Amino acid sequence: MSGSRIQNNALIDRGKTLSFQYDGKTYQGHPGDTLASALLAAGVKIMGRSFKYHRPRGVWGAWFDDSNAIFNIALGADLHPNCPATTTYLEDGMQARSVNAFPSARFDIKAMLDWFSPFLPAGFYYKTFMRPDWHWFEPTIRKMAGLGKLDDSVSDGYQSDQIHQSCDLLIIGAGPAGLAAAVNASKNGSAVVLVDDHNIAGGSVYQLASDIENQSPNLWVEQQIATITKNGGRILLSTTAYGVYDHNLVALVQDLGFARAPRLWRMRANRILITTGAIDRPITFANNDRPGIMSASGALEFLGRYGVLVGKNIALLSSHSHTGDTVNRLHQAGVRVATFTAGDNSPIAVGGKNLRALNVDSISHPCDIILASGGLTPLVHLWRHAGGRLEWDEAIQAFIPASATTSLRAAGAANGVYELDEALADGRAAALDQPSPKAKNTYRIKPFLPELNSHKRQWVDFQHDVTVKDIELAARENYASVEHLKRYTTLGMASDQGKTSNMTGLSVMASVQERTIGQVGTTTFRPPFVPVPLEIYRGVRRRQLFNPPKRLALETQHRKANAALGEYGGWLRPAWYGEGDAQETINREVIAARNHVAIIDASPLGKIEVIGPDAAQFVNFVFYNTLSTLNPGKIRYALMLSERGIVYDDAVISRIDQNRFIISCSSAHVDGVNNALEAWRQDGHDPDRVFVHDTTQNWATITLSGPKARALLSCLEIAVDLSPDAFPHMTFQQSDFMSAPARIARVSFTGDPSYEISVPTLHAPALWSAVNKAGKSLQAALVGVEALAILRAEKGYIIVGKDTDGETMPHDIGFSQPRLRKKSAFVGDRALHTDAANADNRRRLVGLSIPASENRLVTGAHLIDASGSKPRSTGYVTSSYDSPTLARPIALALLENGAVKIGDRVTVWNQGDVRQATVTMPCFYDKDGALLNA
Amino acid sequence: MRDDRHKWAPALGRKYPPINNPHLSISVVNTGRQTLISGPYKKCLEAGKLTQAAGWPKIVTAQHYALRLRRDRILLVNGPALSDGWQEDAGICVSDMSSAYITIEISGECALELLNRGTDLSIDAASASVARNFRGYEVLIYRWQSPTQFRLQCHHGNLQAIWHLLQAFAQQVAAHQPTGESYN
Amino acid sequence: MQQFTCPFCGLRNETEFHFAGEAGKIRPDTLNEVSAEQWSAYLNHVANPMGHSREVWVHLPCQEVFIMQRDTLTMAVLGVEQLRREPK
Repeated sequence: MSGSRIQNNALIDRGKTLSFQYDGKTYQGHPGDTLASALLAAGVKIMGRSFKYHRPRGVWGAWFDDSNAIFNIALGADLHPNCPATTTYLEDGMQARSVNAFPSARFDIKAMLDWFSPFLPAGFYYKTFMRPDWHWFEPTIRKMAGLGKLDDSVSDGYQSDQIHQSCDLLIIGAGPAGLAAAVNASKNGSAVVLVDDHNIAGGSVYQLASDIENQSPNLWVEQQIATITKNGGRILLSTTAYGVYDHNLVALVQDLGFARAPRLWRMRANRILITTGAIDRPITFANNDRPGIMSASGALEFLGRYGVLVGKNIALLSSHSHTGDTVNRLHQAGVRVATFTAGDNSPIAVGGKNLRALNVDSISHPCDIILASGGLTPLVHLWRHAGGRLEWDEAIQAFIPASATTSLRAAGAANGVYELDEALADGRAAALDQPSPKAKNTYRIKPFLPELNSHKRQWVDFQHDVTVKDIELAARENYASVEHLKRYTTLGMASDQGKTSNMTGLSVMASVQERTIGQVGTTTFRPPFVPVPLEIYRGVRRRQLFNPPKRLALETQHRKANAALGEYGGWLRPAWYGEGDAQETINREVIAARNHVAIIDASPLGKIEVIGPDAAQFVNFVFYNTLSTLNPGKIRYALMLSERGIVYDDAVISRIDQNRFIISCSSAHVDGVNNALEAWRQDGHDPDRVFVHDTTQNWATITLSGPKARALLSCLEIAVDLSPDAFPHMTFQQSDFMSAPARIARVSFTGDPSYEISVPTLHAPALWSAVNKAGKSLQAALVGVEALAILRAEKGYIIVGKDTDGETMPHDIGFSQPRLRKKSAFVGDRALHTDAANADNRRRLVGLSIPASENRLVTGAHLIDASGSKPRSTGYVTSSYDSPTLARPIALALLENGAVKIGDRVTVWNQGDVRQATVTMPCFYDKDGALLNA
Repeated sequence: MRDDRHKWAPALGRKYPPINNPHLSISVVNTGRQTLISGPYKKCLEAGKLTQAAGWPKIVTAQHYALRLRRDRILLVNGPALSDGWQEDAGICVSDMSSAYITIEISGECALELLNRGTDLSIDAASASVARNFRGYEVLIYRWQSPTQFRLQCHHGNLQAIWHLLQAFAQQVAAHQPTGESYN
Repeated sequence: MQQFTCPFCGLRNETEFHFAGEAGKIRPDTLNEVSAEQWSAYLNHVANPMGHSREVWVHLPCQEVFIMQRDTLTMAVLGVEQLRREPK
């Protein structure tokens, strides 16, 4: 027992008492306490077990610089893992358990792992547990690794708010320098935002509790805040700036309380001022990880913010300009302090779970707490995030901010300015983007050097249990560069990301190599500065808002008709209609489409208009097929290629008049086709003479397909001559429907006579209603996308991306004329005459015939050539269905040199199952097109 | 081959119930004729019988107005009826888009704050175009009638998703009302 | 999240933009002889410079295609050029 609560001006509400549990025992604390401060006040010393060796640990620091006290916390129905005790504010009823310890941190059954430490040094997994097979040991080792416990249930309502904001000046850290800067900037009329990760501003002012500008620290802080607020500045507390990104974007995570998802602020600042302060660095000495060894400034934080005295009989290891102030402060609090400096030899901490003494020069000095102050380390992580450089300051033994983009600045302790008056001046100058007054840095430090070649265990990274010996080992094995040192030893790779271990590790490596720390350098710091929940990046993107498909204007009608709905090409579309067996329903739809008439909502099909005097020349260039010869009123099927000659999309193109084309591309590629057209329009053509209007969503399209399609169409109140001579296949007519424009295109995706009726979307319900009414007497059937796929496959109409792949060129799927004959340039033209394009063994679209008695082939099954020494894939099945129309299985495939293999037998292999099929032309229905042109 | 009909909440066509809380109002409004006109800016305006098209942060106050989408494109709202296609003398092309767009009105003291959950919008940061990317959706956002009123236009296919988005944002705005400790 | 300046719309977040490739690539005249090497260079050769880079970008909300000069090391935007001449 060493900690206790004392009376002072701490920032806690002593009038209220909160009750909580830790490792099964009950304790009390006050609002304003963290779990760590409340436990320390109650005399608890052991608050965790280390990751690898399960050594007992107490708190080292008072904020994010502690990595030992990590708890799983339950409160009400919420269970959150891995909460740092030093940064989690106490709430009544919390039940905390140490991670990595069972049954408690005080008595952990895995403590005996420490006895195996000789077999578990840095990088042990490269040397031990390798034979016969690492995988034998891996599961057990993995189970023993890891921290925290996840709750299996999903947290409903855990949703992060994400907000964009901007400001003139973002000041990160509301300590003295930051507060002074915010006052100055807000007085100057700048839009200032000041953030601090504590729930009460002030930073380090509470540590020494000395007056600031003739005021008590609490009062001084309150006054700064009042001034800032009065001048329109904004202050965000409990908010951590965890990342600085390019172009001055700073990510802020705002804590909203335990188990409440934090808020993410994306703050864009014209200027960023980093006043994040500095933390104390540990000292490496024998047994320096024992519970009861703490950072000196951490102890002063506990004293100033929380009114907690960490011990009564303190041994202080400290050799720098602030040592005297620390001693005075502790004396004020009634503590006995014995000070030891860097000249004193071989400090050893004595005592396991209960610290008893500090041995120095073989003399034992009894104490209940050892405070170690290896020197101030400016928190420069954010400076590095956006590429700011650091330089080593030998006098103060620290990395301080050097050059950066002009809009990044640091002030105060973060800038290596440790004296209060200088820090205030530094902050005030930085706020106005003025040069800082040239102050003489009076801070001096004599570093404690690590004892090398010692058998004693001296700890460097508390979280990953990395010792001086591990660093010596890394140096011996030539993992000496700072980047290798980190990865080989795992120093600085735990959740604290080296906040306390980085500097001590570099110091050891520098000693080992007899270089300065500045010469050794430091690894790069990257966001996040503290662990943040992934939830802050998810926010609203869940359930109905997780990749939502677009919705059809006729969705209500489809649902009323019992449609099964699925996502196709980014739209929620009817897959089939009805509640019964899906496959049977789909087959019935196919039969109805072939024998009567199908009603299909084809609204997602693209309707991109290309308009202007150069429209014909433009579409002729962008598409493979010749389109300049397409006459008004006519429709042509065309392929869009990439410049590599690969089929990107297929479209049906109508020419309305001399200057106007409508590209009806596949629904999944509307945006892609639109972007491609715009790119060619602006970069390669005269954009004043051709324009691209994506009118897809302005028009709803209902397709009528089948032998009775014409009959149904004639029942509608659309005035159009439907006779085959007046309205042949691949032409269109314009008319109207209920005084709205109607376009009727005679184009087929099914192989049967089809009419696509397009009306403005607002009239879609009326058209749907009319079509359904008229269709009743004709045995019309609503047909979904699944049946449509079968109808297409029966006819050999490809689906781009399904029956074509990333290598398919137009001549592979039967479109060879433009490649040979088109006289004008077009996208992909040269690619169609490369060696690869001319190769004999290109995969070509074919059909596959299977006896009616057999099961259909599996899509993706390989077509095998077994003639050589090893079987080889020569292609694969792209579409495969049981054809209701033909009462047998059909398939389409891409097959090497398929054109000359028509009639041949081919072996089809799928995961060991071997079948036979006959290669046919890729069309099974109405091969001569007689029905289509009726 | 999946039946996801129960996975996706039914879309409500164009009739979405308004969202009202003390700081915000969100509702779908009817805006009549919408015409896309591309070509030289002045010629587009002439066809629409207007002298300018609104960018950001211009407050639109008339019932017949134009929005600037691109250097060579405007969206005319409640303008004169024009035929689709190419107009040779003016060098412009026209497409009716009255059925394509949905217009949502967002108003209240927290309206701009709500919009800032979807994109970066500041009255101080002017932009010639009202076209924005709002949480992944291409929309038009402009000021309407008064400093705390805004209109958001999107294609009808995205209305269901955007409506849910605005609803989720409205809840967040309501939960974020400034408290004494953490916000000024 | 970086910020880029669309020549028409002004400063916007990078999520509104799409990188469309290296600037300065001229499409070979495919009505005349184009060697396989020339075509391959057009499709595949990318300078990928360290430092100053000239690139084609698209601002998706307005679909403006333009040239942006950037420093690929510092992420600084060095300049933005409108691709097209002003319409009459």
